Amino acid sequence: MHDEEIVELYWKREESAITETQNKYQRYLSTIAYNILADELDCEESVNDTYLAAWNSMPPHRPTVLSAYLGKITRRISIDIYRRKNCDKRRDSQYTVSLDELAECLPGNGTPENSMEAKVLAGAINAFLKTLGDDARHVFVGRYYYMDSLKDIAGYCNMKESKVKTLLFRTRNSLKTYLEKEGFQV
Amino acid sequence: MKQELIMDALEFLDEDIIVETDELRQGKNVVKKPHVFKWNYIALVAAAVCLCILGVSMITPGGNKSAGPAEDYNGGVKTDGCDMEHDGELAESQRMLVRIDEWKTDGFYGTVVDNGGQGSVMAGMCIAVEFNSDMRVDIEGYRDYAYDGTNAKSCGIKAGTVVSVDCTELIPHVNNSTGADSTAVTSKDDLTVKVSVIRER
Repeated sequence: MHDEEIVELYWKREESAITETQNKYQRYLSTIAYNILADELDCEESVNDTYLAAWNSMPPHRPTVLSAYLGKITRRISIDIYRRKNCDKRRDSQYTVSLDELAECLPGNGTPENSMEAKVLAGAINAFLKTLGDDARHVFVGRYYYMDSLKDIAGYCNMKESKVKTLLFRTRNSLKTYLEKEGFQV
Repeated sequence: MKQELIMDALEFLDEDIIVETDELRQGKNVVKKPHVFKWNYIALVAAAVCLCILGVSMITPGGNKSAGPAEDYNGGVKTDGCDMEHDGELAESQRMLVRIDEWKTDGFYGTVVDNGGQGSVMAGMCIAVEFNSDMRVDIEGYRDYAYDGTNAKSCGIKAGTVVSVDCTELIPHVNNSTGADSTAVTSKDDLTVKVSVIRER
């Protein structure tokens, strides 16, 4: 079933919308959740919460690309579960590794003096990503938004893992320089 | 933690950026790199082969050796003295300007000043001009001259004079002169040009 038809089911408040979403995007959403949580039970919880969040958000939302919309929901829910359940310990997940990689991207001594809105930072990151080439942008989004492994990124970007690593390293450095130039300090 | 802040900020990425990568992840927009390397390699090898062939053709005998001035003969006569396809008789007489360098008994040695636009002889060539048996000089003051087979010197025109000659035949010439006074003809590539008329320049 096409995305438009599934969204229409949500708008008509037909419960088959959930079934159709599950049939089409179960595996896709589970991959995103597992990249963050690395636990089957937590993944199942995250995906189920995604279906509920989708049901509650459509209407009023009418996404044009349902996969991206649902993926965003799953990502947010999974990160929330990760933070809730891992206050005092680290999980062996791609999310944990990605967090470590991003540690140096924001300039500053690590002790925030001023809080910063994520949306403000998002604006700067959006502008930064648009300055990148296609390969660098895809690799960055695949790694730090979808939390894909280097191997998976190399596969769908049609490049070697070593090149993915190099691209990520250079992009992080460029992001740090960009944020410094834009006046972001933490 | 500031890296958590970045993770939260990424939630607000523009949808087109997310969708672009998402399509790639789902295999909807597969990145296929063209196999350029293979074609570049083939082109490189082909270019190297062409250069080798060109180089070999340039250094092998009978290839593009520098053409001596006497190689382009009308009538196919060659000047290396090795062979002649025929006696070099011209279909029609050709006129050119020649500077008289030195008289000899049957004609003179000279240098081509102007080949008259014909390709058989090049300007600057050293040639031996031999008089035909019916040789005549069509220059005012020299019209009484009659060639008897050995009296070319008696023609009287001074060395250094540029005259117009009517050629009837081109023959490869081998310089048999052993005398030190023969300086005009120095190369085995020189020609013998048989002429029938000498005119004013």
